[in-house]
Amino acid sequence: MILNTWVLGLLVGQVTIFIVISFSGFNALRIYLNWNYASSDERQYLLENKTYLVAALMKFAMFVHLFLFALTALALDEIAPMIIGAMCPVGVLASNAYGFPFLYIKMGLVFIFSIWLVLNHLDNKMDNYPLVRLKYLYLILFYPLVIIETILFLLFLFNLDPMVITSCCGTVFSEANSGVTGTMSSISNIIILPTLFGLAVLLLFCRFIIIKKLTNSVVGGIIEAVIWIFFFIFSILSVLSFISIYIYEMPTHRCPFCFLQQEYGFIGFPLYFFLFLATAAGFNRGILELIKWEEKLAITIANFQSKLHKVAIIAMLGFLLTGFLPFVFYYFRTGRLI
Amino acid sequence: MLTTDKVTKIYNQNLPNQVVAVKDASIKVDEGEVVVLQGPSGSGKTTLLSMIGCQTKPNRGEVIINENRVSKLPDRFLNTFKRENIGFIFQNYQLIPDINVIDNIMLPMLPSGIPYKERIVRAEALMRQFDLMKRRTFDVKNLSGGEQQRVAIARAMINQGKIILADEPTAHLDTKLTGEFLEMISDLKKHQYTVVISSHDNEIINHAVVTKIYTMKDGQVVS
Repeated sequence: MILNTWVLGLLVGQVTIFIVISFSGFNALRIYLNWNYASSDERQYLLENKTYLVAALMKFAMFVHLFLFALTALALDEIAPMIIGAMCPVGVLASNAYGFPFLYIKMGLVFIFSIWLVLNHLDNKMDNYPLVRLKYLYLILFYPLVIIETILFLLFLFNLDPMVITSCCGTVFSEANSGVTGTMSSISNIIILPTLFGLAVLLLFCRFIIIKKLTNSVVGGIIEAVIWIFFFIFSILSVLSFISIYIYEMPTHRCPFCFLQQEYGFIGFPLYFFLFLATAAGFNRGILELIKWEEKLAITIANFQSKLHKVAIIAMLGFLLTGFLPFVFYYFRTGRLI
Repeated sequence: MLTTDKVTKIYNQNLPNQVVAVKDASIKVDEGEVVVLQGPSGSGKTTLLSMIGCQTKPNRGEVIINENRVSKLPDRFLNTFKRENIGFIFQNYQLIPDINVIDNIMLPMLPSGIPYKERIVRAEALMRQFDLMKRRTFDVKNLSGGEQQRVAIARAMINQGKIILADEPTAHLDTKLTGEFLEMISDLKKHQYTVVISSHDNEIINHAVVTKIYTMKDGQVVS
């Protein structure tokens, strides 16, 4: 294990999240099992008070999770010089078997948490707690993922060994690499870019002209959520195969982490921020169609969906602009492609 | 109009200094009634009034106002409900001494986002009703006890809620001012206001304006 201030910071943050969500999960179970809004007995009042506490704690945990997500990238970058062969966070993540699984689950939890935040926000908009059981059942269901994330994180940290020789990002994301990362990097731009822009156009205009009626149904909502997932996947692929090479201005450098560094103007932070925000907002807009159980709730959801759609579209455009501007600048500066 | 159904309020629950302030209290108040909660100090009158006024929630039981289960409302909705439906007159009025009469009266309208002109119109109407126009720009600290009392009642009515709750409103008043207060309550009753007063003042309890009396003892409604 490598122990420095960054690692300690991550450790404290992750353990805090785990403790807070564990406490919330325990209370979520009590609320889910005993909730009876019609009742005015002592237990029900206690549960109603408890929901405020749990919701506040969950919002705190989720905020810390997002903060840690960004901090992890910076921390791994700081650790990289201590690991033989590592030149950026990718090398550190690849130095043992737990790094990438930890990263994937951390990314997944961002979206999972976003669903909970949306459910909580909508529940707070209503005066009769219509989503309280759903949001706490959901918390109970994703709690095992938080346990897995924490275990993977601890295994990753405790197995960081400065004596292990790892691969640098150039190797991990090289087309020659036969692993998942190599396969992702080797997909042709002829497939990725038209698909990405096709999905973007579909998401941009489907609400206005083509399938507005369809997207306002359960099936349409699910389709829209799935399209957003595909948009996210193809965005990551475009980062690996196209966006990164124009940021680095090197045809062989496809690292999705190096551009988080100062040398590249921290461009990775707005890029990923827009991508995660767009996907989370768009995905949630779609799946909210599933919970329009009652008229009053449906109206509240519809109003919120409209806001989510605007956020998703603006963030999507932000991602495309941030990601493809380096290509535009490069092309106009040199008059050629990489 | 207004009912409490077996409401119980326990302070410091499960602690050594636990106090059962109100226990299984049920009352019913119809529209336009003037109801008095009477009983000795510490009998739970103020706590029951606080629960009716959405100032505190019961540990069990329900408060229902105009068919709304207010004790079940989340806090963020409760504040709006309270503002729109209930006016309070406190024991020592709780006016702000260093601001003038009209600003004191308009104060409860601020969180509601009512435009300034509308606030002025409403406040002046009430000041005319309570003969306060001459004192419009006077700081409240410079008013007499009776005038302060009228300001307090005007402030309780400013949001146009039809329920007025008064907690020991005559505790520090002499007989003359108590009489004036009861006249104003009579006037409210004529305008179909529902008034709930907690008091152990016999002058109030025995007055003709009172339509119903609930007696409290040790946190319970005994009659």
